[in-house]
Amino acid sequence: MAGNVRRGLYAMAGVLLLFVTGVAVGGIDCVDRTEDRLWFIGQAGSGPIAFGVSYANDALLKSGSAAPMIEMPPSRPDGPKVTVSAFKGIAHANDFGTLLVFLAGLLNVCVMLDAAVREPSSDEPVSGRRAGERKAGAA
Amino acid sequence: MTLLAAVDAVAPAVLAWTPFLQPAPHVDKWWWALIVPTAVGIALAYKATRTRELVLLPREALRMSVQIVAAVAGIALGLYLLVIVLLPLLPVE
Repeated sequence: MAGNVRRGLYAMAGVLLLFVTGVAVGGIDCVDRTEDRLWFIGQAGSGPIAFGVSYANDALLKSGSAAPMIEMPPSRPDGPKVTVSAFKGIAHANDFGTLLVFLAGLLNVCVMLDAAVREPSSDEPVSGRRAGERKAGAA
Repeated sequence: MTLLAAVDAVAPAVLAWTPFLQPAPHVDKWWWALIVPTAVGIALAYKATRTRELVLLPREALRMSVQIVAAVAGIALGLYLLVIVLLPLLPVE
């Protein structure tokens, strides 16, 4: 394959493994650009899929279309009434889902930085028998 | 019998689970196992940017994954020994 396609596919496999595992463990609630804004800044490094999952969270869970909304006990006696989706992630599921998607975003930023400075044909072997073949072919 | 009892306890939650829409069931019991996909994902993406020869990438990613899991297991063992074994041996005032 030309360029860095194979290298990019390997990197994509790693990032997507983290992202899909995170959303599978925590549900789409673990990507939330309004309630977990600081986490979302890192998660957004994954690219459009992070924004897509956050949009799905708004459209399916927060709207109440996927599961009924449950009234939560108020944090203060005179506090406002809060309702959340019955599918909202809590505790370990939400923690690890959020963390895994966050890691996917950070690693994707690293991959993008690497792609910005890498030579176009670095998929080619740099040593060994196949490198010798390439040099002979070029000559 | 114990295994069947465990399957009986977990099966209803798993069968009722809607993947990606709901959080995975019973994560509080197996959260520690998430170190494996975490280590594999980190190693794959990191080695894709660092390895010079792509032929070696799967082997290097596997080795790094094992190193991460082993390091985390070592830290867990060390903390277990410190908190559960050593600290209770200290004299109480």
